[in-house]
Amino acid sequence: MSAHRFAVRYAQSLIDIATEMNQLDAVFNDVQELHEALTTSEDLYNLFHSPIVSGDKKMDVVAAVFPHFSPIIAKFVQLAIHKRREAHLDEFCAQFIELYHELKKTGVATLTVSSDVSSDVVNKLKGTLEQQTGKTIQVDVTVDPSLISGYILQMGDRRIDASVSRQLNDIRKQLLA
Amino acid sequence: MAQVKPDEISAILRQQLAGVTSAAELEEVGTVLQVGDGIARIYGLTQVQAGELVEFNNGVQAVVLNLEEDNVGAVLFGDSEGIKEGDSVKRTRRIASIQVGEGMLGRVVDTLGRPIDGKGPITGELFEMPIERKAPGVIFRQPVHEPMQTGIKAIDAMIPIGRGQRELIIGDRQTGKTTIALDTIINQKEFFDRGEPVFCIYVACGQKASTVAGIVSTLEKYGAMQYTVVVAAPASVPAPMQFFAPMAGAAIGEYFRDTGRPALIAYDDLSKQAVAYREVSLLLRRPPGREAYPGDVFYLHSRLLERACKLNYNDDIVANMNDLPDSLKGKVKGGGSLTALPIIETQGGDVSAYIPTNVISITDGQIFLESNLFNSGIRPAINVGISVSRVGGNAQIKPMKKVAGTLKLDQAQYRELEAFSKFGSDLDAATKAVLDKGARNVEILKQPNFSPVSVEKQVAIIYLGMKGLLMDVPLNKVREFESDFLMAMETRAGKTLDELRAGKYDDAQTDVLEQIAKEVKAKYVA
Repeated sequence: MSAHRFAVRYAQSLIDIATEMNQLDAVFNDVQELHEALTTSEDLYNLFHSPIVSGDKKMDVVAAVFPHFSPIIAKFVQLAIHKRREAHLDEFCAQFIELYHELKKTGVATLTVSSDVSSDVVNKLKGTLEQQTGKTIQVDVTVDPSLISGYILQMGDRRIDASVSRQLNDIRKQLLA
Repeated sequence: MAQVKPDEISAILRQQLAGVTSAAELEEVGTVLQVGDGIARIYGLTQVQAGELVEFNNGVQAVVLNLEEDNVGAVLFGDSEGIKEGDSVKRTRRIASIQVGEGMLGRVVDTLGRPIDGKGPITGELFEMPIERKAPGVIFRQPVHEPMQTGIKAIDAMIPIGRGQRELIIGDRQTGKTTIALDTIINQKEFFDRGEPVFCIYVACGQKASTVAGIVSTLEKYGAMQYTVVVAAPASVPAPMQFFAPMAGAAIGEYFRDTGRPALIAYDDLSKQAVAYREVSLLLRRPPGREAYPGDVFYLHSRLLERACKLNYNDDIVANMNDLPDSLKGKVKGGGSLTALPIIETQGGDVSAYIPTNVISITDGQIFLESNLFNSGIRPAINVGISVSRVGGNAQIKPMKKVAGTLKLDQAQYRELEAFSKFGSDLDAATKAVLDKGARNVEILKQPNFSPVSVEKQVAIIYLGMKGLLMDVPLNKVREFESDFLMAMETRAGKTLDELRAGKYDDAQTDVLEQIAKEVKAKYVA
C-alpha cells in the first residue's frame, strides 16, 4: 500500500477524534510543531527511521522532547509507534495540516519579495486572494534579494512569478534558442 | 573570416530583444521529489494531463507518463544533471509535439525535431504536429491499391507492397533488413525525378551513431536525401528519446499524408524501441509482464503502426478527420498515404518471441530474411515461403500481376523438389525442367545492394524466367545475361519498356521481349 494512502487514513482519524473532543485547534498547533521538528531536526528524523531503536525508547524521547503535547497527539504518536508506522509521522502531519486547511476553509500563500513590503500591501493581497478563493488566507512573507525586483506569489501548486530574475532568465533562454 | 561590424551585431541584438516576451502569468508548478535514471517524480502539478510536456528550471523538458495519487512520474528529454530535489517544475499546457515542414527534407533531426546535422536551423513554414496522435478512423481511409515500388525484384514480384500498407521486415542480425528499407528509399528517386515524389522518413532507433552516419552518407551518395528525413535516436540518447523517435517520425509522415502526398517510413528497429520502452516502464515502476515488457507493449506498436494508412480521395471527408492538429486545419487534402516498413530483429531466427509475434500480427504482411540464405549467396535473403503481403495483387501493375502471378508457387514447388532430388540422381525430364527453371529464377531474383531495378525491367526479366526462355543459358551466366538483356532493352526497345510501365501487356510487348532475348542469348548458348 502506498504511504500516501495510509497517511490519509491516520490523518483523517486524528482530525475526527480532535473534532469530537473539541480540541481541533490545540491538536493542530501540536501537529504543526511536530511537523516542524521532524522536518528540521535530523536527529529526530533518524530516530524515527531507525529500526534498531525500540518503540519504548522512541516513546520516551517523544515524552521528554514534547512534554506539553495534548493527550490526543501523544496517544497518536504512541499508536503510530505501536503500529510500526513511526517513520511516516512526517507524512501524517503534512496530510493532517492539508485536511485541517480544507476543513477550516483556510489556505497558506507564500509571497517572496526582493525587499521588505509594508503590511498594507500584504493585507491588500490577502483581501484579493480571500475574495477569489473564498477561504481565509494566511500570507507568509519571505525576503529573497536574488529576485532583484518584483515578487513571486505561490499558493498550492499555482504560482505567479513576476520577478525580474525570472524575466531575465526568460530573455536569456529566448536569445539562446 | 568575414568582417563583423559591431553596429550590425547591436542591430541584431536589438531586433531579438524586441521579440522577447516575458509577461508574468499564472503558472502551475510542482516540486521535484526524486530524480534519476531519466525519471523525475514530482509533487504537486495536480492539474497536469498525461502526455503533457513539463519544464524544469534549467529548461529541460519532460513528458508526464504516470499520474499517481501523491506524485507525478515524468520522463526527461535531456540530462538529469542540474535538476535537484526541490526544484520547481512548470506545466507548459502543450502535449509533446514537433515542428514539421518541407524544410526538413534532406535533414537529420532528433526526436524533438531539432536538426543535428550542423546545417543550421530548419527553414520554411513549420507546422506543429503532436508526437502521439490517434490514427484516422475507418471512414477516412480506403483500401490500398497503388504499388509502392521497392525496386527489389523478389519483393515487387512476389510480396508486393502497396501505398499505405504496413509491411514488416524481420530477420536476424546481418541479414540485410536495413538494406531493404534503404533500397526502397533509394528507388523512390525515380519518382522524385519524375515530379511525383514519395517522401521518405528513416527512423533510426537505438542504433549505433556510426551506423546512422553511414546510412545518411549512403542516402546522400545515391541522391536520396533530397526527399528524405532521417530521425536519429542513436543508442547514446536517453531511453525516452529512443522510444518516442518512431512516433516523431510518424508525425512527420502524417504531415505529408494529410497534405495529400504519399510518404514512406522505415522504423529501424522496433525491437530496440520496445527495449527502450521496457526500460522506461520499469523505472516508472509499472508492473512487468512477459519478458519484463510492460502490459501495453502491444498497444505501443499497434497505435504506432495504425497511423500508416491510405486516405480517402474525397477532400471534404478527409478535412473532418479525427484528432487533426490545429496547425493543419484548412490544409488537408485527400488521397495521401503513409506506408510503414517496420523492422524487427530476431534472435537466432526465433519469430515466436514476444515482440516479433506481436508486430507480425499487427502488420499487413512480412518479409522474412534468413541468415543461411544470406550466407549461401541468395541476396536479398528473402525466404519466399513464409513471406507474405496481405494486400497482394491490388498493389501491382497489370503486367507484373500477369507475369509473376505464379512465381511464388513455382518457387515453392522448386524448393520442395530440390530437397527431394538430393536423394537420387535419376530424374525424369519434367522434374528436371522444374529444377532448372527454379534455379534460374533464383538467379534472376538475386540483386546487389543499393541497385534498385525499375518495375518495367523487372517485368521484362521475370517474363523470360517464367516462360522458360533462359533454359539454354548456363546457370552461372544468368546474371550476366540479365544485365546484357536489360541494356539491350533500354537501348533498342525503350518504347516497349515505357508501355509496360504504363500497364500495357499483350503480344506487342511480349514479342519484342522474346525477340531481344533471342538475340542477346546467341552470345551465351554454347
